[in-house]
Amino acid sequence: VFILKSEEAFKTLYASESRGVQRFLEGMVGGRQVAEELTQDAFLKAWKSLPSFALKSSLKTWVYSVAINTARDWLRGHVHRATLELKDEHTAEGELQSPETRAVREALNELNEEIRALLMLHYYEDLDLKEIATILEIPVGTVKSRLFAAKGKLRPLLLAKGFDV
Amino acid sequence: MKNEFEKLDTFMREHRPESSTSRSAPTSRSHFGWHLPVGITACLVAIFVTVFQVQQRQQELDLEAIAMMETLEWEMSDETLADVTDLVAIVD
Repeated sequence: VFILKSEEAFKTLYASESRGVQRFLEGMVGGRQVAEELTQDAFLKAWKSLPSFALKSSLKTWVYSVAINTARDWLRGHVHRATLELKDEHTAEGELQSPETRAVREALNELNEEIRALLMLHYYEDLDLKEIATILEIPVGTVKSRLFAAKGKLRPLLLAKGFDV
Repeated sequence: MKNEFEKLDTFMREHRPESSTSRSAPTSRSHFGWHLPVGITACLVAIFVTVFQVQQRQQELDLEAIAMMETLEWEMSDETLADVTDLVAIVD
């Protein structure tokens, strides 16, 4: 733990996980700029609260736990803003994203934040069920059943957008 | 048993949005913002001014001392001056 507390270790952790955390937060809050700020906040919070990290999980899951709490805190006060930013961003970045990627983001945005978080951790961050369970603080069995239900909600949204899934 | 979400799983993984993270790791400086460089500059300026003032005061004291010596010498009688010169010679 002493070694992990060094600035160098923090930079290494940031370098390896910040992209994933930012992508995750972007999906959660809808705006790239906000996600960037929240990513920095999440890493700083994770760093400051490192003494309470009991080595029961990996540092990666620890950072994602802090990130999801940061996103939840933000969303509590910015629900409407998040939706608006997502729309604006799609307009601005429409040319950069494939129609499929845009459709996925739109579909995810139609789901509530807990389902969205679960699907993103599963599909995009390559986390296994145990890691997701640790991050969301729920049993592995619950992750499995919620994931099944979440996929059941996501699929019709993508089918409605014309994708054969 | 076939995974009924196999096509969905493949589709989702194939269309993972990319993140554009390009920032460097946050440091305590991000919290200090512009305060830190300004603070350091202010400290350096304060140190420079203090050193300059001390040097100037020292120079003033030296000049005062020289002036005092000249006055004393002028006021000293030839006899006293001879005593002082002897004394200085002994001390040296």
